[in-house]
Amino acid sequence: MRATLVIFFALILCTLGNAQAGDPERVIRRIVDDGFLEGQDQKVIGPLGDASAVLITKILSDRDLTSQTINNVLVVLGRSFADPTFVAIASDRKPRTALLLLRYLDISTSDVGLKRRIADTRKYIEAHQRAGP
Amino acid sequence: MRHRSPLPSSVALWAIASVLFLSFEVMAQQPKVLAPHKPVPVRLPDTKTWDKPAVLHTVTGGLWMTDVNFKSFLHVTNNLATDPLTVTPVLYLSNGHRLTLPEVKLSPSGTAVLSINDALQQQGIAPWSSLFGYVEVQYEWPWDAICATVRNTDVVHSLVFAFNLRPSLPAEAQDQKSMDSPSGANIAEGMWWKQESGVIGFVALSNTEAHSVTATVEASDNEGKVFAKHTVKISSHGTKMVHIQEMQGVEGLEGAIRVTYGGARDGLVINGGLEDPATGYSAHLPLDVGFRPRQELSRLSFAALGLMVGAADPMMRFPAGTTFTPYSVLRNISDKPIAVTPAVYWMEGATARVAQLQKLILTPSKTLRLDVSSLLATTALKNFNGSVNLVLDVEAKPGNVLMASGSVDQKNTYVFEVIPQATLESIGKSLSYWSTANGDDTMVTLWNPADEAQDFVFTLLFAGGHYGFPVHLGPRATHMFTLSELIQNQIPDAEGNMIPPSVHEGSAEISGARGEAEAILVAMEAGTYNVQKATCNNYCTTCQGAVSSSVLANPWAVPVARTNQLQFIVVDNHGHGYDYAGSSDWSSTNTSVATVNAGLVSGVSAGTANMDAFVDVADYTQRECLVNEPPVCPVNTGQGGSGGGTVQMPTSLSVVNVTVLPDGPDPPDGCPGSANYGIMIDIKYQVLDQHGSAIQSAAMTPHEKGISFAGSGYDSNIGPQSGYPTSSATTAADGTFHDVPFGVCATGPISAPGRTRTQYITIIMPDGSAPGVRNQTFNVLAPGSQSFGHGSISNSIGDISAQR
Repeated sequence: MRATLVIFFALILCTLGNAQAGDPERVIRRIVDDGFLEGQDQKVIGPLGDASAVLITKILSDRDLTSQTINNVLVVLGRSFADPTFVAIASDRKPRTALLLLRYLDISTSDVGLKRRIADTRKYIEAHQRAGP
Repeated sequence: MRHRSPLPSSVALWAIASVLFLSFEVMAQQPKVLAPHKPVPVRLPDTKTWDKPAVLHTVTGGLWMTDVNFKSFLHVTNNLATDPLTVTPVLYLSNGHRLTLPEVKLSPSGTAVLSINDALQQQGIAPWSSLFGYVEVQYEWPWDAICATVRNTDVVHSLVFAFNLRPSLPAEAQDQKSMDSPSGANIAEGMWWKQESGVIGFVALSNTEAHSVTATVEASDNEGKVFAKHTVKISSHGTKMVHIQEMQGVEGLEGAIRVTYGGARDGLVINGGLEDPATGYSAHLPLDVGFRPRQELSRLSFAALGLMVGAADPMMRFPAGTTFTPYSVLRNISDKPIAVTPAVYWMEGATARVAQLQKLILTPSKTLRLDVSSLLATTALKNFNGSVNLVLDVEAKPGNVLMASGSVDQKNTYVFEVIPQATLESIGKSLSYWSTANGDDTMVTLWNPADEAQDFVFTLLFAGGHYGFPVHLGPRATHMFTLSELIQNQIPDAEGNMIPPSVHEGSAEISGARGEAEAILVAMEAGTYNVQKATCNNYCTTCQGAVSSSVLANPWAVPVARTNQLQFIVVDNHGHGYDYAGSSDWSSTNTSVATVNAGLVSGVSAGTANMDAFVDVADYTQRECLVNEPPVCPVNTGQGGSGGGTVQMPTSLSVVNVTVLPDGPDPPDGCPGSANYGIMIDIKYQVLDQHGSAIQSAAMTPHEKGISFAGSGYDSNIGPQSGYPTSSATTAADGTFHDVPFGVCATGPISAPGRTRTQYITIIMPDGSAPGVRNQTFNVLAPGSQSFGHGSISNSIGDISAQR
């Protein structure tokens, strides 16, 4: 299972090979790397939806996952799906990559508290996705 | 009742008249008269809040007379449709003694009839005593709200005199009233005529002042020769009756009456009548007291409706053989000749016909009796039996000609007076009283003076209800009906109402089919007659109109490039409010600041301006009831209002409140547990204008730019923010907006000097302008590990400070 997910993300990263690092990537990288979140960030993250998960996989591709990193990723994912009506690209309103990413994070940690936090984020995303358009 | 043969001089009169007049029928040569065709204003829900305070009103003056035969009644009508009214009648005896009668409660649109004889008896005075005096009725309301008439009836002699009470004086007249004039400075012109040789006149002079007044009554013939002169001194609140017995010895059939008196012009109430108790003849004596409405008009048509000609209508149940002769008497009380062109209208089946008669000239000061029957004989109406309308086109300003008209039977017992009235555009018209009780019936005549059809509703108002009777009048058409017919028919009206058979009195109104405020052109005459008693009364007919007007909102406010719809509220005498914004003329005192169209104000640039509204709608006053002879109604038109206001430009923001967002991982929470140093807040701002007043508009877009807490530049609208429901792209309707989430959450302490953020806020207006409203720097601190779960934020202006 773990090997399947690694292959999946490798394929995604291939598709992002030429992606430019715009504001969203810079903001997400700062949050993921530093855990520094400011209110202004919601304007950047909120409209991303599932695209944030794609950007996160790109950012995470070359590093080990610490508990803090996973926590920071969860902050980004939750804010990306706070209101699907804000997500400009319709296909990004469904959390396909985000749910896979959450499963990946879940199997990447044995911390019970963190697993519960991952589960809560999944529920939050699914609930908001159902409430969306 | 003696029958008197026609006087020889009437032959001479006809000879003169036949030279003066040539009759011919004209249907197409008159100028076209159109119906008003004005927009009907929007009726507003009744709020019962008035912009004027209630003040004491006093209606004064109806002459009452009691004796063995004379019964006197006070009729009071509440013109308010929205509210009941309590009135206090006061009787003044001829010696000035005051008797205050018990209060009378009037329901909305209600009427009350008080027997003055009974009231005297309750005061310990024999009701058969030969007494007279005048009446006051007092009440409190913001505007003239009642109509009152004293009806004096002597059934034994078939005499009836009705005198309307004079409404409260307008403020300017009150000022004038306080300035006493020297004795003889005030002149009231009147006229007399003799229907038969036994007729004499009387003039009653009631002094409403606190001091005595001296008055002189002169009667002269048509050559200007004075044949009677009586000088009387009237004590305070007293009444003197001057009987002009000398009229019996005068050869002429018509002439002038002049009353001169000192004191204030309105201090003396003058009523008069013509009578012959031997035949049962009685008529109202027209008197002019100098009230001059509508002086902007130089030509007016006066209509005397429903003049009976020939054999009486069998439906009216007059004695067999009763025939009627119409009469019309005019007196020029100006100092210049006045041209008058008569025309006669009648119905031929469903079609209106007209006979246009030749112009005649009224010589100054002279009284002229028209021989209407002879005039009719020169038209297609020879041997006519029925009713006609006599319309007099008078080329003079209102108030320059006294008029009287009516119909008299061959025995001079049945006198149906018809008060000529000006045909002017109005809104609804009210009839203060009607009766079908005790053998009474009320005949209503409606005439459409326009050359196109109009639709009306004649509404009967009575205790506990109302009944609407639709009336369609073709061009120049007349419709006559009795109210007993309406009651007996028992046909439901458009609202399903019927008149209970037990209802025998009330008031009434005529209005346009599209509502009371519809502009209409109609003449209405109503007389309450009693065949058995040989009496006929005319009660007060008034034009409805506006009692106040104002622009709402005042002051108004509108942002630049936005609009604000103002209302122009006109309250009518019934207490109903209407919004005339769409049908009024509007103007702006400063079009570079704001323009206005149909009450819609458009903000052009920051500043202040007044929006003025004007609508040509009738101004309500009941003074035509008595002091306007003949009635010119409405006496004034035009309602204005003004509303000042501000065109607002965003200039600053005030902080309404600051809320610390609760801890939590996802929106709408603040800091997550994984980044638990710092603070996130929700700041609610109010956009303020150049005067520091709130701009209440939902069309403003808050925008910000600066350097973020993370050190990067930003330039974007403040809202909306996904997951934060208080955030929005534009301001709320009250001009507030939220900047949320605002702050910093970090995984570690935020040590001094902390994290800073600069913010320059502008408000993008609908026209694209973006005035700056706030420039500030924020600072967030969460020093040391003890700050886990805590943080503080403050701004450089000093109006934002919060801790978590």
